[in-house]
Amino acid sequence: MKVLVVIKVVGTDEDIVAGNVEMLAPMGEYNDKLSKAGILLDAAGLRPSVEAKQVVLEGGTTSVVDGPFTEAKEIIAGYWIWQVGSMEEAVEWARQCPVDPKVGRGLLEIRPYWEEADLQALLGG
Amino acid sequence: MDARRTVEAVWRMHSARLVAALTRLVHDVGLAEDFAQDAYLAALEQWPREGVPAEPAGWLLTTARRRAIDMIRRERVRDEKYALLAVADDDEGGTGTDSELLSLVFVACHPVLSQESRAALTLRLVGGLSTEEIAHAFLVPPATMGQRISRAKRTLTEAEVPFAMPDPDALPARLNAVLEVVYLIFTEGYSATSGDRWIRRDLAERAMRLGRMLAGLMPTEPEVFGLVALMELQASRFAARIGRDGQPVLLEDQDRGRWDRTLIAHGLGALSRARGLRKPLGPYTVQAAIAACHARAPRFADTDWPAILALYDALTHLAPSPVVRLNRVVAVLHVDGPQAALDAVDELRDDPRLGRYHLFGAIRGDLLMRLGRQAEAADELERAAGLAPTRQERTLLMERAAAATR
Repeated sequence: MKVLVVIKVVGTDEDIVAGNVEMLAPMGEYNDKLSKAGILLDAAGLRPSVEAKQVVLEGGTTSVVDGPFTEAKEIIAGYWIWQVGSMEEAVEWARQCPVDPKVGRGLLEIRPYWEEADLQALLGG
Repeated sequence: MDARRTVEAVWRMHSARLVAALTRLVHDVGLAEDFAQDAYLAALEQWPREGVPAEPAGWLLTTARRRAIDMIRRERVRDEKYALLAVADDDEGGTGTDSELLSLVFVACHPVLSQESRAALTLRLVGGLSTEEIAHAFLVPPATMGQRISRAKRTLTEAEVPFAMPDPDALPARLNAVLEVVYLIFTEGYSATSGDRWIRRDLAERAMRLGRMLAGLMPTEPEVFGLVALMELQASRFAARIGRDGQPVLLEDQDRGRWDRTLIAHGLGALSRARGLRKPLGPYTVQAAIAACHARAPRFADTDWPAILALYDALTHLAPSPVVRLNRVVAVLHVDGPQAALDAVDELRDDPRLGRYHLFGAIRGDLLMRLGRQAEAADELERAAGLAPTRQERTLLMERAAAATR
């Protein structure tokens, strides 16, 4: 199964997350471990929300909001795509993610992909 | 979260390195696996009660080592082994190193074993699958698979297969045996050779993971990346190659929007890695390059057939086989037309290895149909249907035979 792991950081200044060079080495080692285990398909870090835009779709109209999103409690810092055997396995890999005590509360959200079989079930196939 | 499933997940993550580390200590892969299994059972008993330890891999290794020492004490095996274990118990190096893990892969795929035993043992020792899961994957009763695995382990012990990397001059042949096993596991999952379950996706995923793991362990061997690329590019079509009714969908008719872009991107990356190593390319890399031509074409009509034909010519030199020559015929069709393709397929007609191969008739039937020779086409397709290994393929061929006479 494929899962998307979204890396969120809660309750901290976005600049601390973005400029956290000390975490590059441990994250690199972690990525190396994921890669050697054969589960890593894709990964990326995301630039801070000051460079982001939100397109708001509401009541049939759209509007565009420029970052930074000051009201947001969570900063999305990056993601992985893993191919794992089960959600439990994904959780155990996520548990091994390095943490920096300086940088607030980290939160890894693991979202399984819709599989073809699920879609077929949805479509009544 | 189900504690038992968590223990299983942790086991899958660490068992290969655990068995590898233990094998270095006890010099016997079967014995090492027994100790590792004991530790797994202990985890199943304790973790649901006490929670998963902070260092699950370390916990498993320590537990397994303790059991190994206990047993050796009890049985008073040679002092030397006991001393070795006692020393090893002091060092803090976690579970298996990369080279130990790689040695384990080579042991599991050792030529003293039959190919089916190699596949079973690789899934068991390196993939961390249970005997029941492997039996299920290969459609045999668990008892049969259990015997096959124990016999394989005994064969390794009796043959005194060393737990080490192969000699440099033996490496290409040995690596090739490893790649064959991984690809065998993949194809078993990608298109089942028997039964009605056309796709066993988890087995294919397991093979892809083994392949990526090998690529991480042998980063200078192009064929390892070639195989990873080949498997991923083929697997990217999983969702598109079965229709709603469970029938296989031909490449030409597949909805390319349903191809897995992540697997394609990863596969193309692995392919360029293989090419970037600047060593002579092997058959897996060439096959991956062919798969890449399909992956890169936005529509079937955009396929770069001349490139595919050139790659098939290369493949015919590297790995001559009737199946390769048969697949080449499809490229000939799109480059030089149906008559040239029929001539090429008829050159293969007397090859006894293709006599019972349903795709020979499927392709020949298709070519005859394109040339307007409907009656001959229907005969050929019906014959092919009779040889098809799965119900779905049989149905598809019968439908095409019926369409030919309509």
